[in-house]
Amino acid sequence: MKQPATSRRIRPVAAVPTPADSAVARQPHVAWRRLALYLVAAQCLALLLLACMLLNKHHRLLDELTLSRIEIQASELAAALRTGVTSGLRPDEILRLQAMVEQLKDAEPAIAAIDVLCAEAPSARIVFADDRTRVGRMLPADVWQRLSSAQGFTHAQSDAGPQIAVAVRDMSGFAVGGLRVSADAVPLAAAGEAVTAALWSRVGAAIGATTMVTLVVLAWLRSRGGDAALRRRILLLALGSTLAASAVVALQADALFAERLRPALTAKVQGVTRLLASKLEHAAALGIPLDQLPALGDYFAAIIARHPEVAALRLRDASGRVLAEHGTARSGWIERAAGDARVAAATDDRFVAHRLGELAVDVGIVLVVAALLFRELLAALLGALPRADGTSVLNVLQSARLPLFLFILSEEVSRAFLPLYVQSFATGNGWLGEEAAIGLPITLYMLCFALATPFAGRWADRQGVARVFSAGVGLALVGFAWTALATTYWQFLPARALCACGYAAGTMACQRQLISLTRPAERARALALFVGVVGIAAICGSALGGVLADQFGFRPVFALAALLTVLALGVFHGTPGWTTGTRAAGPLLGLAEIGRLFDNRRFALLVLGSAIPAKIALAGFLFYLVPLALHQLAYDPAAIGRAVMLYFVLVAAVNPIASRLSDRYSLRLSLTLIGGLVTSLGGLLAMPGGLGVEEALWAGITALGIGTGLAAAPTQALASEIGADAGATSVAVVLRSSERLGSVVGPLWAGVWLAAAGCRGAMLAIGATVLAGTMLCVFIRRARVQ
Amino acid sequence: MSRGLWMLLLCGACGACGVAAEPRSYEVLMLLFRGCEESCRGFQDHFRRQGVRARFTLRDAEQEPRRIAGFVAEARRLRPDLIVAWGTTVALEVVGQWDAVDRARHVTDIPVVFMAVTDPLRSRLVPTLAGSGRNLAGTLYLLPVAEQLQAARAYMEFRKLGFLYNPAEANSLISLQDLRAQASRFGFDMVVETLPVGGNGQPVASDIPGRIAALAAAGVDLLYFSPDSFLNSQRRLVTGEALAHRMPVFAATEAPVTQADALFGVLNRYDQIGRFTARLALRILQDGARPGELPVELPRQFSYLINLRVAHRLGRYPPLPLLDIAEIVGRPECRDRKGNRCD
Repeated sequence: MKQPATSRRIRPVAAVPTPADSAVARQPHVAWRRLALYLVAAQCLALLLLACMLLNKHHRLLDELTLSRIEIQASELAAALRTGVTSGLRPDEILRLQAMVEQLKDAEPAIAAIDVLCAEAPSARIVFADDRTRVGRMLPADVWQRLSSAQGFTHAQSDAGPQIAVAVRDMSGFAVGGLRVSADAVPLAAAGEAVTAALWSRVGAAIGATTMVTLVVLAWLRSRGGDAALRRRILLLALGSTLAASAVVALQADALFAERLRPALTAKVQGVTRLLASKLEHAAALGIPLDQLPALGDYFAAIIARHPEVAALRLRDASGRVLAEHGTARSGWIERAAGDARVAAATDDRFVAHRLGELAVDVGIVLVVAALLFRELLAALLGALPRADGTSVLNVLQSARLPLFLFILSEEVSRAFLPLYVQSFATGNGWLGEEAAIGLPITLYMLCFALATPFAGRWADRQGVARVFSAGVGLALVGFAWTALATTYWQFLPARALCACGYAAGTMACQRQLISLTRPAERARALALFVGVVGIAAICGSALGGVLADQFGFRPVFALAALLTVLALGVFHGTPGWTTGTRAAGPLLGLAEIGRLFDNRRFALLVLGSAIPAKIALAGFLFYLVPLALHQLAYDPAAIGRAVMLYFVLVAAVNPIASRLSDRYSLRLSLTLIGGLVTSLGGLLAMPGGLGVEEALWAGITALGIGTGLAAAPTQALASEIGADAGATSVAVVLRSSERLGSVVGPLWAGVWLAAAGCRGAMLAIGATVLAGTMLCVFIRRARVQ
Repeated sequence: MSRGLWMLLLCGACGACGVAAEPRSYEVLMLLFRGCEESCRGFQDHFRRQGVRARFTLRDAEQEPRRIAGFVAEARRLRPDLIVAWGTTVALEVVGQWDAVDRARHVTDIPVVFMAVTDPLRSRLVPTLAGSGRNLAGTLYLLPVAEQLQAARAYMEFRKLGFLYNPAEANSLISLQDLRAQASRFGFDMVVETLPVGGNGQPVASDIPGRIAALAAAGVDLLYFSPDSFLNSQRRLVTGEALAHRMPVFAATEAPVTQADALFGVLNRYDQIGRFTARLALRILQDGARPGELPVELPRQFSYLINLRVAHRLGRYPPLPLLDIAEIVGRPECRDRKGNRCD
């Protein structure tokens, strides 16, 4: 028998350390079939998501190209309307518009409908249209409202298809009319479907190939016998094959889209050329010699900036001499006559690739999440963590990671954009201000979570972990489903309350199980595992949720969350060794003990000064303020998800360092104070006159992440120390429960300041709160010296 | 009752019905300074378009301020529904400064609407643009100087801005002060030549060529044609001389561009001013709005006028983006009998 490759890492199943047995004892607890199933499923999901994102991008690009081309042609009609209005005519009096509408419709086959509008309180009436039967209809009031309040052309989706619209104003700025042009959705949809079909066949092939490769390599690894490097190898396999498949799919998509979009791209560039030619002809007709037109190069540059599909523009006179030029042409020129001269435009053949490249960050996020998910899967199914005395219990713990991970993921996936979703319902709420209305579901969630947690813990002890976890999943499932199907604002409150109770039940069940299955010596390790899983799930959830919300909208993500809870339950019941009966309930938390703790002034100061303000900052700033503020700055949900993710990444990065420093050098109070100062600095940087709002938000997230990472573990250790002095044993629980008060208060506090003083005011208020708390914590040291 | 009485009552009722059924016709007195030009016509046309019946009585001072007093007396006799005052001089004669009203000389009980007034605030017609607080309403028509300069920059760079100062007219000083205030922001120097005032209190036309030559010698690259009635009356001379020295002229009002040789200007066309003021007038007549509570506003539909004939002569053409939005005047071809463009 060949000796296994030497590895400094001791195998977790250290029950068979002899070389002779190693090859034979092929990881008896590795469920190969389940591993293969999960891996292949995860890979398929990742590739499917990638395909959806690519197709979404294609459809958006096609709509955009068509609409911007139509906009060029419609601007002539809009100009005629505007000229008439400025001469004092009402839109329905400009009779030649009817002929212009018909001309435009004939000239451009991609146009489905053209409406000329005349304002008539409270909305507007169609006065000219390509289809006479539409004349006389009134627009819905909110549609006119949106149209008339925008500047310039707006793009929208209508039943007829993608649509552009513009309002025309009179001399006092009042919108007296407008123009609306719809593109024909049928050819666009047909083109989209054709591309979808073509891409799916390629994606299907990629998925098939990846699955085959994965299964083959897994079989090979299984036959080779497992060793400590097994996990790393499988991880490499899963990640590598997904990456390779993604790259192949992306390249194929690029080629496919470039080819299918070429007609639309060419048509757009032709439109630009036609426009430029008509302007130059107009100048020439006025007798202006084209070589004496000033700043033509700059004008070309401005056109190229506004229409990125164009790579270069060139004007040549009748003899071929170049009069003006800008950009570099890589493809052929599309020429058009402008009087005696000729103007030409070159298409940017890298346009499609460039636009697809905008997906790169989101795709990267999906791949990172996939990698983390693979890692969780493997940890769960192989349980191969290096241990000094690998006991089988730890394997069970590892296998508990997956249901926990999925369950927490389901909750975190909506974190980044929940305030935005609520905001879309919260307008016009009467007695509750909008800011408070948005904060209320979060506050209620935190409150229910805080109240439910102790009960859930005791319930888990009495009823058994399995039952409580299942109950938690059930509650969360109903909560998410209700949120996804919500039609009014008031449905959010009970839905979020259900989610909170479910989350409390589920997480408490897992925590109880971890505690009851580990010896006191390992408990810290087990809890660290718990916290680690929460951290990773938070990172994955916020980023992935943002990307999904951007692609598919808000409701589907809540549906996905519901699905994840079901998956968690499925994995949970499929994992052996998890549901090992009930244990004796842990020591109940007596009120006497709580009282004793809070009587200790140092403990009270710690809770009041560090724990609660930290949660105020987290719930008030990160969960409530950041999504709203970034949305105001026109960030899309994917970008907001990344911003929220940054916090979790920083905490995960800084936490271990702070832990080590705290343990080795006993820097508990110092780190707590420093962490608090850093966090408050983030809020105070929002001072007016300093950073811009956007920079201040990012600085705030960074500071919060670093500050929390620095202070979390030392605060806990300090609390234990103080608690030990006071003779209490359940310090951690009391600390956790009391700091939840901060989570409850946070969104309300932030909401009040947001309404009163805007985003900066809210940030300053939170920063000041944390600073005040940190000042309080200084007194903890003094007490010790005395 | 007797049959005769019934007949009388019937006729009376019919008559009353007839009078009530017929829409009311307004009496509008228009006091003008230099004839019924485009703003006067635009004003009347707006009434026509809106289907409002009105009888317009026109009185033209023909640039003689002393005649206006007679019109005011006539107004008091006729008691029209509305008086329209064209220009600062006429408006001041009709209603006086807001803090110096003379009930004997000025109209205080008939609504008065002013238009084509350069600066109602500094002429002391109104204490604030939010409302006059008396029987006076009106409109602004000049684009703020900063916006004019920005528009001029869109056409051409200039480092030295020339100005002909008319000491006899308050508007000229106001214009000069406004330009001076913007000089550092826009990075140009003012070069000012003063027109000496003659015996009759007005500058002398024959001084103009000399002043313009002096400006040209000082290296002026753009001449600013301010809204000054004397200069406007001499617009052909001023712009012709500037053109001879190859100096482009930027005008703050319409006439120097459309009826003389100024190169360009960004302004409200008089027709627009008339219509905008007519809308205000209708609010007073039809809606019963109180003149003193109506704010003095600026219509925002500006025209960027470019005189192409002058551009050809100077060889200074506008950049292409301006051609998109500009109104071209002075096309040498195709003009109708009135001298307007025929397209």
